[in-house]
Amino acid sequence: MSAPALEVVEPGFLSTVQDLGRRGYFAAGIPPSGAFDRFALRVGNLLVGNPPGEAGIEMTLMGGRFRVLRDTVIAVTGADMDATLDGAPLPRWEAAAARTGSELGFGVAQAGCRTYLCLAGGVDVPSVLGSKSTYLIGKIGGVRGRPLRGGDRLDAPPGARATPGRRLTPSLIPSYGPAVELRVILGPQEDHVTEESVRTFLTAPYKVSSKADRVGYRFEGPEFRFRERAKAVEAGSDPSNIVDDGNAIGAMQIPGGKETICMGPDGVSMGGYVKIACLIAADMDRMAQARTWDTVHFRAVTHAEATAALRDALARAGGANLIG
Amino acid sequence: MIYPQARYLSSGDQYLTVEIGDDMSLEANFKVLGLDLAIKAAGIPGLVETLPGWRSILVHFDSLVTDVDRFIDALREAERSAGGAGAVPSRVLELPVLYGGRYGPDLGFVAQANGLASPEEAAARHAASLHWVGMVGFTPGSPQLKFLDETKLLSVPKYTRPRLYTPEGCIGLGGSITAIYPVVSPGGYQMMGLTPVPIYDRFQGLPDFEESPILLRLGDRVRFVPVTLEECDAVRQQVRECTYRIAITEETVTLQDLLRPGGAA
Repeated sequence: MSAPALEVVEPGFLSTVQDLGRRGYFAAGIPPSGAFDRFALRVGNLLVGNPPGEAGIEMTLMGGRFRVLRDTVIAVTGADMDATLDGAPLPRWEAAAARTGSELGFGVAQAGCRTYLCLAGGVDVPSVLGSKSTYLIGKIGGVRGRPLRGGDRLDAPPGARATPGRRLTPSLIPSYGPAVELRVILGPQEDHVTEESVRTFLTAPYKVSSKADRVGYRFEGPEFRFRERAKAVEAGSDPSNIVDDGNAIGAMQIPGGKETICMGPDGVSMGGYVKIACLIAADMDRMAQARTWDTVHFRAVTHAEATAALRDALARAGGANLIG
Repeated sequence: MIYPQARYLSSGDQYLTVEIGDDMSLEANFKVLGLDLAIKAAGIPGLVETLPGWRSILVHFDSLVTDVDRFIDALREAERSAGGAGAVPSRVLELPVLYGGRYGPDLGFVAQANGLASPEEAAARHAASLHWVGMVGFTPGSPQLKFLDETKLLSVPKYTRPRLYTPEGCIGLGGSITAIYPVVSPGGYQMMGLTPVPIYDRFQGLPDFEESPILLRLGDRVRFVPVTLEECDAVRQQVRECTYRIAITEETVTLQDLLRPGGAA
Protein backbone atom coordinates (compact mmCIF):
# COMPACT_ATOMS: atom_id res chain seq x y z
CA MET A 1 0.00 0.00 0.00
CA SER A 2 1.26 3.39 -0.97
CA ALA A 3 0.87 6.35 1.33
CA PRO A 4 1.32 10.10 0.74
CA ALA A 5 5.00 10.96 0.91
CA LEU A 6 5.20 14.43 -0.57
CA GLU A 7 2.85 17.38 -0.81
CA VAL A 8 3.23 20.02 -3.47
CA VAL A 9 3.15 23.45 -1.79
CA GLU A 10 4.02 25.36 -4.96
CA PRO A 11 4.56 23.57 -8.26
CA GLY A 12 7.12 25.95 -9.77
CA PHE A 13 7.06 26.92 -13.44
CA LEU A 14 6.28 23.50 -14.92
CA SER A 15 6.65 20.32 -12.92
CA THR A 16 5.47 16.93 -14.14
CA VAL A 17 5.82 13.29 -13.16
CA GLN A 18 8.05 11.43 -15.64
CA ASP A 19 9.57 7.96 -15.93
CA LEU A 20 11.38 6.66 -19.02
CA GLY A 21 8.26 6.96 -21.18
CA ARG A 22 5.86 4.74 -23.13
CA ARG A 23 6.57 2.69 -26.21
CA GLY A 24 4.34 1.50 -28.99
CA TYR A 25 1.77 4.29 -29.33
CA PHE A 26 3.68 6.77 -31.49
CA ALA A 27 2.03 5.34 -34.62
CA ALA A 28 -1.26 6.64 -33.23
CA GLY A 29 0.27 10.02 -32.43
CA ILE A 30 1.04 9.42 -28.75
CA PRO A 31 4.76 10.17 -28.25
CA PRO A 32 7.03 8.41 -25.74
CA SER A 33 7.21 11.36 -23.29
CA GLY A 34 9.33 10.52 -20.25
CA ALA A 35 12.18 12.42 -18.59
CA PHE A 36 13.77 14.86 -21.06
CA ASP A 37 17.16 14.35 -19.35
CA ARG A 38 17.26 10.60 -18.87
CA PHE A 39 20.72 10.52 -17.33
CA ALA A 40 19.52 12.79 -14.53
CA LEU A 41 16.39 10.72 -13.85
CA ARG A 42 18.28 7.40 -13.97
CA VAL A 43 20.98 8.56 -11.57
CA GLY A 44 18.41 10.17 -9.26
CA ASN A 45 16.54 6.90 -9.00
CA LEU A 46 19.66 4.81 -8.41
CA LEU A 47 20.76 7.20 -5.64
CA VAL A 48 17.55 6.54 -3.69
CA GLY A 49 17.65 2.78 -4.34
CA ASN A 50 15.03 2.66 -7.11
CA PRO A 51 15.21 0.92 -10.46
CA PRO A 52 16.51 3.54 -12.94
CA GLY A 53 13.19 3.84 -14.76
CA GLU A 54 11.03 4.74 -11.74
CA ALA A 55 8.94 7.90 -11.90
CA GLY A 56 10.31 11.14 -10.50
CA ILE A 57 9.44 14.82 -10.72
CA GLU A 58 10.81 16.89 -13.59
CA MET A 59 10.96 20.63 -12.84
CA THR A 60 11.57 23.26 -15.51
CA LEU A 61 13.53 26.54 -15.15
CA MET A 62 12.04 27.31 -11.73
CA GLY A 63 11.41 24.61 -9.18
CA GLY A 64 8.67 24.21 -6.61
CA ARG A 65 8.27 23.81 -2.87
CA PHE A 66 7.33 20.50 -1.32
CA ARG A 67 6.43 19.27 2.16
CA VAL A 68 7.73 15.88 3.22
CA LEU A 69 4.86 13.85 4.70
CA ARG A 70 6.86 10.93 6.04
CA ASP A 71 10.51 9.99 6.56
CA THR A 72 12.08 9.15 3.24
CA VAL A 73 15.25 9.49 1.18
CA ILE A 74 15.41 11.92 -1.73
CA ALA A 75 17.88 12.89 -4.45
CA VAL A 76 18.10 15.99 -6.61
CA THR A 77 19.80 15.75 -10.02
CA GLY A 78 20.03 17.80 -13.19
CA ALA A 79 20.09 21.59 -13.22
CA ASP A 80 21.16 23.58 -10.14
CA MET A 81 18.03 25.23 -8.70
CA ASP A 82 19.58 26.12 -5.34
CA ALA A 83 17.76 23.25 -3.63
CA THR A 84 17.29 23.53 0.12
CA LEU A 85 16.03 21.17 2.79
CA ASP A 86 14.59 23.14 5.71
CA GLY A 87 16.59 26.12 4.50
CA ALA A 88 19.95 24.34 4.37
CA PRO A 89 21.61 23.86 0.98
CA LEU A 90 20.96 20.40 -0.42
CA PRO A 91 23.73 18.97 -2.58
CA ARG A 92 22.79 17.65 -5.99
CA TRP A 93 23.65 14.15 -7.23
CA GLU A 94 23.54 12.85 -3.66
CA ALA A 95 20.92 10.97 -1.61
CA ALA A 96 19.66 12.76 1.52
CA ALA A 97 17.35 11.78 4.36
CA ALA A 98 14.21 13.92 4.58
CA ARG A 99 12.19 13.87 7.80
CA THR A 100 8.45 14.16 8.19
CA GLY A 101 7.43 17.82 8.12
CA SER A 102 10.58 18.99 6.33
CA GLU A 103 10.28 21.47 3.51
CA LEU A 104 12.09 21.10 0.22
CA GLY A 105 12.62 24.28 -1.74
CA PHE A 106 13.86 25.01 -5.26
CA GLY A 107 14.63 28.32 -6.92
CA VAL A 108 15.49 29.40 -10.43
CA ALA A 109 17.84 27.21 -12.49
CA GLN A 110 21.35 28.70 -12.25
CA ALA A 111 22.64 26.71 -15.20
CA GLY A 112 20.78 24.12 -17.20
CA CYS A 113 17.03 23.93 -17.47
CA ARG A 114 15.59 20.79 -15.86
CA THR A 115 15.94 19.41 -12.35
CA TYR A 116 14.79 16.00 -11.15
CA LEU A 117 13.52 15.10 -7.71
CA CYS A 118 13.48 11.38 -6.99
CA LEU A 119 12.26 9.74 -3.82
CA ALA A 120 12.75 6.28 -2.38
CA GLY A 121 10.08 4.00 -3.81
CA GLY A 122 9.30 6.38 -6.64
CA VAL A 123 6.14 8.38 -7.33
CA ASP A 124 3.10 6.17 -7.29
CA VAL A 125 0.69 7.38 -9.96
CA PRO A 126 -1.36 5.13 -12.26
CA SER A 127 0.43 3.72 -15.28
CA VAL A 128 -1.32 4.83 -18.48
CA LEU A 129 -0.51 2.92 -21.69
CA GLY A 130 2.46 1.38 -19.94
CA SER A 131 4.02 4.47 -18.36
CA LYS A 132 3.59 6.95 -15.52
CA SER A 133 4.93 9.77 -17.69
CA THR A 134 2.85 12.90 -18.08
CA TYR A 135 1.92 13.75 -21.67
CA LEU A 136 0.34 17.18 -21.49
CA ILE A 137 -1.19 17.44 -24.99
CA GLY A 138 -2.91 14.08 -24.60
CA LYS A 139 -3.70 14.75 -20.92
CA ILE A 140 -2.51 11.34 -19.77
CA GLY A 141 -0.08 10.04 -17.16
CA GLY A 142 1.32 11.69 -14.04
CA VAL A 143 -1.30 13.42 -11.91
CA ARG A 144 -4.44 13.36 -14.08
CA GLY A 145 -2.46 14.17 -17.20
CA ARG A 146 -1.54 17.66 -15.99
CA PRO A 147 1.37 19.53 -14.40
CA LEU A 148 1.65 19.36 -10.61
CA ARG A 149 -0.42 21.86 -8.64
CA GLY A 150 -0.27 23.17 -5.09
CA GLY A 151 -2.08 20.73 -2.81
CA ASP A 152 -1.27 17.61 -4.83
CA ARG A 153 -0.17 14.74 -2.62
CA LEU A 154 2.15 12.22 -4.18
CA ASP A 155 2.20 8.65 -2.94
CA ALA A 156 5.25 6.46 -2.66
CA PRO A 157 5.39 2.83 -1.67
CA PRO A 158 6.83 2.57 1.86
CA GLY A 159 9.62 0.26 2.92
CA ALA A 160 12.05 1.26 0.20
CA ARG A 161 15.65 0.97 1.38
CA ALA A 162 18.06 3.74 0.55
CA THR A 163 21.33 5.03 1.87
CA PRO A 164 21.60 8.76 2.58
CA GLY A 165 24.96 10.11 1.49
CA ARG A 166 25.23 7.89 -1.56
CA ARG A 167 26.47 10.05 -4.42
CA LEU A 168 27.52 10.07 -8.03
CA THR A 169 31.23 9.90 -8.87
CA PRO A 170 32.11 13.62 -9.15
CA SER A 171 33.82 13.28 -12.55
CA LEU A 172 30.49 12.13 -14.04
CA ILE A 173 28.51 15.18 -12.89
CA PRO A 174 27.61 17.03 -16.08
CA SER A 175 28.19 20.76 -16.32
CA TYR A 176 25.64 22.84 -18.15
CA GLY A 177 26.77 25.97 -19.91
CA PRO A 178 25.67 28.46 -22.52
CA ALA A 179 27.59 26.68 -25.31
CA VAL A 180 26.16 23.32 -26.29
CA GLU A 181 27.22 20.82 -28.92
CA LEU A 182 24.45 18.60 -30.23
CA ARG A 183 25.34 15.59 -32.35
CA VAL A 184 23.07 14.78 -35.27
CA ILE A 185 22.76 12.32 -38.12
CA LEU A 186 21.94 14.07 -41.40
CA GLY A 187 18.69 13.11 -43.11
CA PRO A 188 16.08 12.08 -44.03
CA GLN A 189 15.76 15.06 -46.41
CA GLU A 190 19.13 16.82 -46.27
CA ASP A 191 19.28 16.42 -50.07
CA HIS A 192 16.46 18.99 -50.37
CA VAL A 193 18.79 21.84 -49.33
CA THR A 194 21.96 23.03 -51.00
CA GLU A 195 25.34 21.56 -50.03
CA GLU A 196 26.33 24.97 -48.79
CA SER A 197 23.31 25.09 -46.51
CA VAL A 198 24.24 21.69 -45.05
CA ARG A 199 27.77 23.00 -44.42
CA THR A 200 26.40 26.14 -42.79
CA PHE A 201 24.07 24.07 -40.60
CA LEU A 202 27.06 22.06 -39.34
CA THR A 203 29.35 25.02 -38.70
CA ALA A 204 27.32 28.12 -37.82
CA PRO A 205 26.20 28.94 -34.28
CA TYR A 206 22.49 28.61 -33.60
CA LYS A 207 20.54 30.07 -30.67
CA VAL A 208 17.87 28.29 -28.66
CA SER A 209 14.77 30.44 -29.21
CA SER A 210 12.17 31.33 -26.60
CA LYS A 211 10.01 28.56 -28.00
CA ALA A 212 11.63 25.53 -26.45
CA ASP A 213 9.63 22.94 -24.54
CA ARG A 214 9.02 19.21 -24.26
CA VAL A 215 7.27 19.12 -27.66
CA GLY A 216 10.13 20.75 -29.50
CA TYR A 217 13.12 23.07 -29.34
CA ARG A 218 13.29 25.87 -31.88
CA PHE A 219 16.69 27.13 -32.97
CA GLU A 220 17.39 30.40 -34.72
CA GLY A 221 20.27 30.69 -37.13
CA PRO A 222 21.20 31.07 -40.78
CA GLU A 223 18.37 30.37 -43.21
CA PHE A 224 18.44 27.32 -45.46
CA ARG A 225 18.47 27.45 -49.24
CA PHE A 226 16.63 24.74 -51.09
CA ARG A 227 17.56 22.92 -54.27
CA GLU A 228 15.28 23.04 -57.27
CA ARG A 229 13.40 19.77 -57.48
CA ALA A 230 10.26 18.29 -58.92
CA LYS A 231 7.68 17.27 -56.37
CA ALA A 232 4.11 16.16 -56.00
CA VAL A 233 1.54 18.99 -56.04
CA GLU A 234 0.00 17.74 -52.79
CA ALA A 235 3.22 18.57 -50.98
CA GLY A 236 2.47 22.29 -50.92
CA SER A 237 4.03 25.26 -52.64
CA ASP A 238 6.87 26.19 -50.28
CA PRO A 239 10.20 24.46 -51.01
CA SER A 240 10.31 23.33 -47.36
CA ASN A 241 7.00 21.45 -47.80
CA ILE A 242 6.90 17.72 -48.40
CA VAL A 243 4.02 15.25 -48.35
CA ASP A 244 3.65 14.56 -44.61
CA ASP A 245 5.82 11.79 -43.24
CA GLY A 246 6.77 10.48 -39.82
CA ASN A 247 8.85 12.52 -37.38
CA ALA A 248 11.44 10.68 -35.35
CA ILE A 249 11.91 11.87 -31.78
CA GLY A 250 14.85 14.21 -32.40
CA ALA A 251 13.84 14.99 -36.00
CA MET A 252 14.73 18.55 -37.05
CA GLN A 253 12.19 20.23 -39.30
CA ILE A 254 13.01 23.44 -41.15
CA PRO A 255 9.68 25.14 -42.00
CA GLY A 256 10.25 27.85 -44.58
CA GLY A 257 13.98 27.26 -44.17
CA LYS A 258 13.82 29.93 -41.47
CA GLU A 259 14.07 28.00 -38.24
CA THR A 260 15.00 24.53 -37.05
CA ILE A 261 12.57 22.67 -34.80
CA CYS A 262 13.87 19.57 -33.03
CA MET A 263 11.25 17.15 -31.69
CA GLY A 264 11.49 16.55 -27.94
CA PRO A 265 10.06 13.64 -25.92
CA ASP A 266 6.49 14.95 -26.43
CA GLY A 267 7.12 15.60 -30.15
CA VAL A 268 4.46 15.30 -32.82
CA SER A 269 4.56 12.11 -34.87
CA MET A 270 4.33 13.67 -38.32
CA GLY A 271 4.76 16.81 -40.30
CA GLY A 272 4.95 18.24 -43.80
CA TYR A 273 8.37 19.88 -43.65
CA VAL A 274 11.85 18.92 -44.78
CA LYS A 275 13.91 17.41 -41.98
CA ILE A 276 17.56 18.33 -42.29
CA ALA A 277 18.84 15.98 -39.58
CA CYS A 278 17.93 14.11 -36.40
CA LEU A 279 19.42 14.56 -32.95
CA ILE A 280 21.06 11.36 -31.72
CA ALA A 281 19.35 9.68 -28.77
CA ALA A 282 22.39 10.12 -26.50
CA ASP A 283 22.22 13.92 -26.82
CA MET A 284 18.55 14.38 -25.90
CA ASP A 285 19.86 14.90 -22.34
CA ARG A 286 22.01 17.81 -23.51
CA MET A 287 19.14 19.45 -25.38
CA ALA A 288 16.99 19.02 -22.25
CA GLN A 289 19.42 21.23 -20.32
CA ALA A 290 19.80 23.89 -23.05
CA ARG A 291 18.10 27.21 -22.32
CA THR A 292 16.74 30.05 -24.40
CA TRP A 293 19.62 32.04 -25.99
CA ASP A 294 22.18 29.29 -25.35
CA THR A 295 24.47 28.84 -28.35
CA VAL A 296 24.28 25.51 -30.10
CA HIS A 297 26.55 23.87 -32.64
CA PHE A 298 25.33 20.85 -34.58
CA ARG A 299 27.89 18.18 -35.41
CA ALA A 300 27.23 15.31 -37.82
CA VAL A 301 28.15 11.81 -36.65
CA THR A 302 27.76 8.33 -38.09
CA HIS A 303 25.36 5.65 -36.88
CA ALA A 304 28.28 3.81 -35.27
CA GLU A 305 29.33 6.93 -33.35
CA ALA A 306 25.72 7.52 -32.25
CA THR A 307 25.40 3.96 -30.95
CA ALA A 308 28.73 4.21 -29.13
CA ALA A 309 27.55 7.49 -27.58
CA LEU A 310 24.32 5.84 -26.43
CA ARG A 311 26.19 2.91 -24.85
CA ASP A 312 28.48 5.38 -23.15
CA ALA A 313 25.53 7.44 -21.84
CA LEU A 314 23.91 4.31 -20.40
CA ALA A 315 27.20 3.20 -18.83
CA ARG A 316 27.65 6.61 -17.19
CA ALA A 317 24.16 6.24 -15.69
CA GLY A 318 25.00 2.81 -14.25
CA GLY A 319 24.92 1.86 -10.59
CA ALA A 320 28.66 1.12 -10.59
CA ASN A 321 29.33 4.85 -10.69
CA LEU A 322 27.77 5.55 -7.30
CA ILE A 323 29.87 6.05 -4.20
CA GLY A 324 28.68 5.01 -0.76
CA MET B 1 5.31 8.97 -58.15
CA ILE B 2 5.97 5.55 -56.67
CA TYR B 3 9.65 4.60 -56.71
CA PRO B 4 10.65 1.29 -58.34
CA GLN B 5 12.29 0.39 -55.04
CA ALA B 6 11.81 1.84 -51.58
CA ARG B 7 14.37 4.39 -50.38
CA TYR B 8 15.87 3.87 -46.93
CA LEU B 9 16.63 7.23 -45.33
CA SER B 10 18.37 8.01 -42.04
CA SER B 11 16.13 9.43 -39.34
CA GLY B 12 18.61 9.56 -36.50
CA ASP B 13 20.06 6.54 -34.71
CA GLN B 14 16.74 5.05 -33.58
CA TYR B 15 14.53 5.47 -36.64
CA LEU B 16 14.59 4.87 -40.39
CA THR B 17 12.32 6.38 -43.01
CA VAL B 18 11.26 3.89 -45.65
CA GLU B 19 10.00 5.95 -48.55
CA ILE B 20 7.72 4.35 -51.15
CA GLY B 21 7.05 7.46 -53.20
CA ASP B 22 6.48 11.18 -52.99
CA ASP B 23 2.72 11.65 -53.45
CA MET B 24 -0.54 11.09 -51.60
CA SER B 25 -2.02 8.59 -54.03
CA LEU B 26 -4.07 5.61 -52.92
CA GLU B 27 -1.58 3.47 -54.83
CA ALA B 28 1.30 4.67 -52.65
CA ASN B 29 -0.80 4.36 -49.50
CA PHE B 30 -1.77 0.79 -50.41
CA LYS B 31 1.84 -0.10 -50.99
CA VAL B 32 2.63 1.30 -47.56
CA LEU B 33 -0.11 -0.86 -46.04
CA GLY B 34 1.29 -3.99 -47.68
CA LEU B 35 4.87 -3.22 -46.69
CA ASP B 36 3.85 -2.33 -43.14
CA LEU B 37 2.14 -5.71 -42.75
CA ALA B 38 5.20 -7.48 -44.17
CA ILE B 39 7.59 -5.65 -41.82
CA LYS B 40 5.45 -6.44 -38.78
CA ALA B 41 5.16 -10.10 -39.81
CA ALA B 42 8.90 -10.53 -40.40
CA GLY B 43 9.86 -10.64 -36.72
CA ILE B 44 12.89 -8.42 -37.27
CA PRO B 45 15.18 -8.23 -34.20
CA GLY B 46 15.26 -4.73 -32.72
CA LEU B 47 12.01 -3.56 -34.32
CA VAL B 48 10.12 -1.36 -31.84
CA GLU B 49 7.27 0.16 -33.84
CA THR B 50 6.24 1.22 -37.34
CA LEU B 51 4.57 4.54 -38.18
CA PRO B 52 2.94 4.09 -41.59
CA GLY B 53 1.93 7.22 -43.49
CA TRP B 54 0.74 8.33 -46.91
CA ARG B 55 3.84 7.31 -48.80
CA SER B 56 6.42 6.24 -46.26
CA ILE B 57 6.91 4.30 -43.05
CA LEU B 58 8.93 5.61 -40.12
CA VAL B 59 10.43 2.55 -38.47
CA HIS B 60 11.57 2.77 -34.85
CA PHE B 61 14.37 0.35 -33.96
CA ASP B 62 16.61 -0.28 -30.98
CA SER B 63 20.19 0.47 -32.01
CA LEU B 64 21.48 -1.46 -29.00
CA VAL B 65 19.90 -4.65 -30.36
CA THR B 66 20.63 -4.33 -34.07
CA ASP B 67 22.83 -2.11 -36.19
CA VAL B 68 21.40 0.02 -38.93
CA ASP B 69 22.90 -1.90 -41.86
CA ARG B 70 21.65 -5.23 -40.62
CA PHE B 71 18.28 -3.64 -39.93
CA ILE B 72 18.02 -2.20 -43.45
CA ASP B 73 18.91 -5.62 -44.90
CA ALA B 74 16.04 -7.15 -42.93
CA LEU B 75 13.65 -4.43 -44.11
CA ARG B 76 14.70 -4.98 -47.73
CA GLU B 77 14.01 -8.67 -47.26
CA ALA B 78 10.52 -7.77 -45.99
CA GLU B 79 10.07 -5.45 -48.97
CA ARG B 80 10.91 -8.28 -51.37
CA SER B 81 8.38 -10.57 -49.70
CA ALA B 82 5.68 -7.90 -49.49
CA GLY B 83 4.31 -8.09 -53.00
CA GLY B 84 1.17 -6.01 -53.47
CA ALA B 85 -1.35 -5.61 -50.71
CA GLY B 86 -4.39 -7.52 -51.95
CA ALA B 87 -7.51 -7.17 -49.88
CA VAL B 88 -6.79 -5.25 -46.67
CA PRO B 89 -9.02 -4.86 -43.64
CA SER B 90 -10.86 -1.55 -43.94
CA ARG B 91 -13.61 -0.59 -41.57
CA VAL B 92 -16.37 1.87 -42.42
CA LEU B 93 -17.08 4.16 -39.48
CA GLU B 94 -19.91 6.66 -39.27
CA LEU B 95 -19.26 9.94 -37.52
CA PRO B 96 -22.09 12.42 -36.97
CA VAL B 97 -21.12 15.98 -37.91
CA LEU B 98 -22.73 19.28 -37.10
CA TYR B 99 -21.72 21.26 -40.20
CA GLY B 100 -21.46 25.05 -40.28
CA GLY B 101 -22.66 27.50 -37.65
CA ARG B 102 -20.39 28.46 -34.79
CA TYR B 103 -18.43 25.20 -35.01
CA GLY B 104 -17.91 25.46 -38.76
CA PRO B 105 -17.20 29.14 -39.32
CA ASP B 106 -15.22 28.52 -42.52
CA LEU B 107 -17.86 26.42 -44.30
CA GLY B 108 -19.05 29.48 -46.27
CA PHE B 109 -15.50 30.08 -47.46
CA VAL B 110 -15.19 26.42 -48.48
CA ALA B 111 -18.40 26.79 -50.53
CA GLN B 112 -17.20 30.02 -52.13
CA ALA B 113 -13.76 28.61 -52.98
CA ASN B 114 -15.40 25.70 -54.76
CA GLY B 115 -18.02 27.72 -56.65
CA LEU B 116 -20.91 26.39 -54.61
CA ALA B 117 -24.06 28.41 -53.87
CA SER B 118 -24.26 27.81 -50.11
CA PRO B 119 -22.49 26.35 -47.07
CA GLU B 120 -25.18 23.65 -47.01
CA GLU B 121 -24.14 22.56 -50.47
CA ALA B 122 -20.50 22.27 -49.37
CA ALA B 123 -21.57 20.20 -46.36
CA ALA B 124 -23.69 17.92 -48.50
CA ARG B 125 -20.81 17.35 -50.91
CA HIS B 126 -18.35 16.63 -48.13
CA ALA B 127 -20.74 14.11 -46.56
CA ALA B 128 -21.58 12.46 -49.88
CA SER B 129 -18.09 10.98 -50.29
CA LEU B 130 -16.50 8.26 -48.20
CA HIS B 131 -13.14 9.41 -46.82
CA TRP B 132 -10.01 7.26 -46.66
CA VAL B 133 -7.72 7.41 -43.62
CA GLY B 134 -4.25 7.74 -45.16
CA MET B 135 -2.28 8.71 -42.08
CA VAL B 136 -2.87 8.98 -38.34
CA GLY B 137 -0.91 11.11 -35.89
CA PHE B 138 0.44 14.56 -35.16
CA THR B 139 -1.75 14.75 -32.07
CA PRO B 140 -3.24 11.55 -30.55
CA GLY B 141 -5.27 9.73 -33.18
CA SER B 142 -5.68 12.68 -35.53
CA PRO B 143 -6.45 11.34 -39.03
CA GLN B 144 -5.74 12.77 -42.47
CA LEU B 145 -8.55 11.75 -44.82
CA LYS B 146 -8.81 11.72 -48.58
CA PHE B 147 -12.04 11.98 -50.62
CA LEU B 148 -12.73 8.59 -52.21
CA ASP B 149 -15.31 10.05 -54.58
CA GLU B 150 -13.36 12.44 -56.81
CA THR B 151 -16.60 13.97 -58.13
CA LYS B 152 -17.32 15.32 -54.62
CA LEU B 153 -13.84 16.79 -54.13
CA LEU B 154 -13.52 20.10 -52.30
CA SER B 155 -10.29 22.07 -52.16
CA VAL B 156 -9.28 25.11 -50.07
CA PRO B 157 -6.05 26.79 -49.05
CA LYS B 158 -5.00 26.40 -45.41
CA TYR B 159 -4.88 29.41 -43.09
CA THR B 160 -1.85 31.53 -43.95
CA ARG B 161 -1.26 32.01 -40.22
CA PRO B 162 -2.46 29.13 -38.06
CA ARG B 163 -5.09 29.98 -35.44
CA LEU B 164 -4.19 29.37 -31.81
CA TYR B 165 -7.35 27.53 -30.84
CA THR B 166 -9.21 24.69 -32.52
CA PRO B 167 -11.92 22.93 -30.52
CA GLU B 168 -11.85 19.20 -29.88
CA GLY B 169 -13.84 17.37 -32.56
CA CYS B 170 -13.34 20.03 -35.24
CA ILE B 171 -13.61 18.79 -38.83
CA GLY B 172 -11.16 20.79 -40.92
CA LEU B 173 -10.26 20.93 -44.61
CA GLY B 174 -6.79 21.87 -45.88
CA GLY B 175 -6.11 21.39 -49.57
CA SER B 176 -8.34 18.41 -50.25
CA ILE B 177 -7.45 16.67 -47.02
CA THR B 178 -9.91 16.44 -44.17
CA ALA B 179 -8.58 16.37 -40.62
CA ILE B 180 -10.31 15.73 -37.31
CA TYR B 181 -8.83 17.49 -34.28
CA PRO B 182 -8.79 15.08 -31.33
CA VAL B 183 -7.69 17.62 -28.73
CA VAL B 184 -7.76 21.39 -28.40
CA SER B 185 -4.79 22.64 -30.43
CA PRO B 186 -3.58 25.27 -32.88
CA GLY B 187 -4.59 24.55 -36.45
CA GLY B 188 -4.47 25.71 -40.03
CA TYR B 189 -7.29 23.78 -41.68
CA GLN B 190 -10.57 25.52 -42.58
CA MET B 191 -13.16 24.69 -39.91
CA MET B 192 -16.20 23.04 -41.48
CA GLY B 193 -17.98 21.52 -38.51
CA LEU B 194 -17.73 19.44 -35.39
CA THR B 195 -18.24 15.82 -34.46
CA PRO B 196 -19.55 15.14 -30.94
CA VAL B 197 -17.93 11.68 -31.04
CA PRO B 198 -14.38 11.51 -29.68
CA ILE B 199 -11.69 9.98 -31.86
CA TYR B 200 -9.33 9.97 -28.84
CA ASP B 201 -10.78 8.78 -25.53
CA ARG B 202 -8.01 9.01 -22.96
CA PHE B 203 -10.20 7.41 -20.29
CA GLN B 204 -11.16 4.57 -22.66
CA GLY B 205 -14.66 4.91 -21.24
CA LEU B 206 -16.66 4.45 -24.43
CA PRO B 207 -17.24 0.81 -25.46
CA ASP B 208 -15.53 1.29 -28.84
CA PHE B 209 -12.32 2.42 -27.11
CA GLU B 210 -11.92 -0.60 -24.89
CA GLU B 211 -8.83 -1.83 -26.75
CA SER B 212 -7.24 1.50 -27.60
CA PRO B 213 -7.70 5.19 -26.78
CA ILE B 214 -7.39 5.83 -30.52
CA LEU B 215 -10.38 5.22 -32.83
CA LEU B 216 -9.06 5.48 -36.38
CA ARG B 217 -6.29 3.64 -38.18
CA LEU B 218 -4.74 3.74 -41.60
CA GLY B 219 -7.04 2.03 -44.10
CA ASP B 220 -10.30 2.90 -42.34
CA ARG B 221 -13.02 4.69 -44.27
CA VAL B 222 -15.14 7.38 -42.63
CA ARG B 223 -18.66 8.41 -43.53
CA PHE B 224 -19.59 11.82 -42.18
CA VAL B 225 -23.30 11.94 -41.34
CA PRO B 226 -24.78 15.46 -41.12
CA VAL B 227 -26.81 15.98 -37.94
CA THR B 228 -28.84 18.83 -36.45
CA LEU B 229 -27.87 20.64 -33.28
CA GLU B 230 -30.48 18.63 -31.34
CA GLU B 231 -29.13 15.34 -32.67
CA CYS B 232 -25.59 16.47 -31.93
CA ASP B 233 -26.53 17.30 -28.34
CA ALA B 234 -28.23 13.92 -27.94
CA VAL B 235 -25.02 12.18 -29.08
CA ARG B 236 -22.98 14.35 -26.71
CA GLN B 237 -25.16 13.22 -23.83
CA GLN B 238 -24.68 9.56 -24.74
CA VAL B 239 -20.92 10.14 -25.02
CA ARG B 240 -20.92 11.66 -21.54
CA GLU B 241 -22.80 8.65 -20.21
CA CYS B 242 -20.38 6.31 -22.07
CA THR B 243 -23.29 4.58 -23.79
CA TYR B 244 -22.69 5.84 -27.35
CA ARG B 245 -21.80 3.16 -29.90
CA ILE B 246 -20.05 4.14 -33.11
CA ALA B 247 -21.49 2.47 -36.22
CA ILE B 248 -18.57 0.36 -37.45
CA THR B 249 -18.71 -2.13 -40.32
CA GLU B 250 -15.79 -4.53 -40.72
CA GLU B 251 -14.92 -5.01 -44.39
CA THR B 252 -11.95 -5.74 -46.58
CA VAL B 253 -11.13 -3.71 -49.62
CA THR B 254 -8.74 -3.84 -52.57
CA LEU B 255 -7.07 -0.97 -54.37
CA GLN B 256 -9.22 -1.75 -57.41
CA ASP B 257 -12.37 -1.36 -55.29
CA LEU B 258 -11.23 2.07 -54.18
CA LEU B 259 -10.30 3.26 -57.64
CA ARG B 260 -13.76 2.48 -59.02
CA PRO B 261 -15.92 5.58 -59.50
CA GLY B 262 -17.52 6.49 -56.18
CA GLY B 263 -14.69 4.88 -54.21
CA ALA B 264 -16.21 1.61 -52.98
CA ALA B 265 -19.14 3.47 -51.45
